Amino acid sequence: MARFVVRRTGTALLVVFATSILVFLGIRAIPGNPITVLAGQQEQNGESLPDLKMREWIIHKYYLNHSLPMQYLHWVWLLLHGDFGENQHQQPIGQMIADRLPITLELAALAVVVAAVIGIPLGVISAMRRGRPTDHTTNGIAVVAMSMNHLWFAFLLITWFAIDLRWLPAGGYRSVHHPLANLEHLVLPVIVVSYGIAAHLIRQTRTSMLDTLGSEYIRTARAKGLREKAVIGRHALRNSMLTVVTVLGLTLGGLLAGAAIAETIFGIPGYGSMLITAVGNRDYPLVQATVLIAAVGYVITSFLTDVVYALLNPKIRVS
Amino acid sequence: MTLIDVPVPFTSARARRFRIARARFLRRPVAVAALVVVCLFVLLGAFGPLISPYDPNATDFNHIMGHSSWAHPLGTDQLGRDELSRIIVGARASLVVALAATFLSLLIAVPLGIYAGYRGGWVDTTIARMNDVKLAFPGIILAVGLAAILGPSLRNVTLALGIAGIAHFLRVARGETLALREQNFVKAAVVSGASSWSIVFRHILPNMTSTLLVQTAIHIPGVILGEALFSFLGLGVRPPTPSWGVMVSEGQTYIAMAPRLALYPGAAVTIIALGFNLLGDGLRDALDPRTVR
Repeated sequence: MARFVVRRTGTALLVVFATSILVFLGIRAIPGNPITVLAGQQEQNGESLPDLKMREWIIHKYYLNHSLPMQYLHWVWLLLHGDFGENQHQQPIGQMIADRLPITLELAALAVVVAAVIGIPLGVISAMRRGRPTDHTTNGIAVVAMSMNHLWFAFLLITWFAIDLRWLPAGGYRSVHHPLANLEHLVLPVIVVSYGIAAHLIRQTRTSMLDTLGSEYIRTARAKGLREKAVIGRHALRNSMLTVVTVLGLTLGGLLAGAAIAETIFGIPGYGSMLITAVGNRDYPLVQATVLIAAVGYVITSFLTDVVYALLNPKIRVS
Repeated sequence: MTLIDVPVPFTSARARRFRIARARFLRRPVAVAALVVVCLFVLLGAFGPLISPYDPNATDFNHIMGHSSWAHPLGTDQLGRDELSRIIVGARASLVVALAATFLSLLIAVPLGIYAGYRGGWVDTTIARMNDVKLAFPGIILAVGLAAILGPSLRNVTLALGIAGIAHFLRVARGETLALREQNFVKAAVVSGASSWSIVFRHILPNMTSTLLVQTAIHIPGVILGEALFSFLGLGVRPPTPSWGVMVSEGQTYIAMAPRLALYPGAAVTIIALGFNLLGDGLRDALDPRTVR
């Protein structure tokens, strides 16, 4: 197990390193003067906007008069010291991220819980009722959900629940200091983020439950007279959860995408909507920082998924 | 040498397999309906401007946000443009991006994947590791980052979505090649002295086409959703060119007054994506007798 974790940590660090190089080179590959790009401003009539003092400051800060590898090392040095630079309005990016990330994490956590609570039981029921109407209905709902786009579904929900029925607010965000208002504003966004994950979970749980139910030890468990509840709960479900954990880990990338769309539509000041706005405004310093942190977060979650998987599955631990 | 020069029974076996697969496919009404939807979508994308009842950009200020009528079945938008015509013509952006981006992914991923799987060794390790790095990058973040660097345009959205889709097909092509390499008919071809080229083109590639076909059908909805999303965010097709994403984005402003302006084009995206997903399921059932449902 220790060897597995060490090796997996090595791969994760390698991926983070490669990602940071990609992000660094990506920003340098943007056509135009790197000073202008790093100031997050656009060139107008071939002339860059930043004034002389700011130019010198940016050259100094990002080592632009040094070689590319030196620039990279210095940038990483700054990042490791928590200095993410400033965006196009000279606001510290580190602070912006610290303000907005918790909101997205709240949304994402709620969405994962909702998706798991809906998706896994439906998948199990679907597998146990295989070929019957319940199975077909569940499967049909899952395929439709997988094909729906977040945009359309979000607008449908807004039209029904916010405009026609007036049950829920159509957008906005309240801080966690007002828990009820906070949750009220998050109901629709959480549904929008979670339905796709729930659909994937239904299909994946069903497949892996069917795999498990066909195996020898389930037949043995039934043959020795265990009640169906014990067969499903203690034997089949436990083993099929292995695959489900992996799938849940892999959907986390899609989670950020869903959160970005939901936050944009519902006007939630979260991390995802910040990324989208930054891209729209061509605020490159902010894009650089947000993309890098998102990628690192994804690497960490996939690392944790693999470790949990190894903890659950003795076969991987040994080999 | 005559051992491998037996394409005749091989082809007839393949023709028989094709007939069986077609019969299995046609037995499923859902799969056939999905195929019809996909064909309609392709026809709309190809001939949209010819069959749309109105010019999609013609404004009519006497019919602003008009309700559905005989003249305008889906009503008119905030500039009095015919909603149905804009949806019909807007299919083209989705179709072009979906086909071009998927083709780009396949063009890069399949040769690389076959090479990695067939050669093995350090080439395979390098490509597999590089692919791990790419997989670690959520596709949508990669595409958004690329779009930010390249700037907003239909071509750049295609490039971004095409590059983001490489990892998926690379994994499939490599895995299939690894499995096929161990099959007896490939080993027999190797023993009888067939060149690597002929093994790849006559044995490996033809035997992975059905898997690639299914994977393509499943991959396309994501690309269509991606195009709509990018256009919605202002990173793709620019107004006034009609595109479903642009229409949803413009309709958002009028969601309280006329929700249909955002809901109809969004529904179009959903229907097409559903068509491709169900087509993929149907193809898999028809082509792979091992799958049990």
